[in-house]
Amino acid sequence: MIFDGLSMAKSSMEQILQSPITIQKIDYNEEPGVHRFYEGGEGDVHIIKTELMGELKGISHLLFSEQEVTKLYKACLPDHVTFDDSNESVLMKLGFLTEIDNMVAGAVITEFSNFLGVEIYGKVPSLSVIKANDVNAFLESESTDFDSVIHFKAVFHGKELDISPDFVWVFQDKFVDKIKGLV
Amino acid sequence: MSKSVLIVDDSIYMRSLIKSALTGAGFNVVGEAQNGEQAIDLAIELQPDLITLDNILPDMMGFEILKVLKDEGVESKVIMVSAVGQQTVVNKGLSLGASEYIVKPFTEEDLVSVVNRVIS
Repeated sequence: MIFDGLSMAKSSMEQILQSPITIQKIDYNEEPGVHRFYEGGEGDVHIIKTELMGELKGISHLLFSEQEVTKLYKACLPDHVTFDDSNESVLMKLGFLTEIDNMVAGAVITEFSNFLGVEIYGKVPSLSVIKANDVNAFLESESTDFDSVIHFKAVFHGKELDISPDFVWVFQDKFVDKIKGLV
Repeated sequence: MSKSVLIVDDSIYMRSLIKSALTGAGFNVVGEAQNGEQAIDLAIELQPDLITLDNILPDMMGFEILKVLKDEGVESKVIMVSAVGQQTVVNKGLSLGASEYIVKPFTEEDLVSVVNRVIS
């Protein structure tokens, strides 16, 4: 089910970016403790977060490095937006990034909700820009609201665009109970 | 006379994409709203032929807006636009009065085709 959800997300990302995307790696973990969600390098990381609302609690995070964000803007937005720092262009760039997450997370939400028979939605995505060294602590702090969590992570790869964004989901363990209830 | 359209989406990027596609196809985009409150005000004031309605907005859901528009007697056709396309949600939107439900991402051609079908 997770693979199906991520495959849908991959397809959505391909359609938005108009470029082939592959799933390079999938990690799944339901062990307690501190997880190493992110293994990227240095510099700033753009984290776009979508929180679930409805019958299941969870949060998705799509992570792009600063360099990847620059590549995406150049590849997908018109020059008059990419190279302009006016308020409207900045909002357009922000809107582009959050819309990628909205669609990619939405694909997973659709797959899971159809499979599990639950009604879940993603809230309006939000963007945080933080230092790479602080990403794991940031993601760990996101799961403290849940009694126990499972998480999975996919690393996408876009060869043409030269990007490898991480896609990290943290779910309340009720998610697993729902699956077990179906088996 | 070209048909009038109100675009409701919290993302300026999505509003811009939809506006560009519909303007290019000959529709008249008469307003844009980035939240539910603006959407309701503009729908009542402008009474457009069509509303493209994002289902997840910062202040309310598209479903709630559909109910308010019905109560207010707004007769515009509504196409719901959302990244979440689970069948129960699509059915809910249609049962509340939406004419169509488009799942993002979509192409310009898909959007124009659906809009033409709904307001032709």
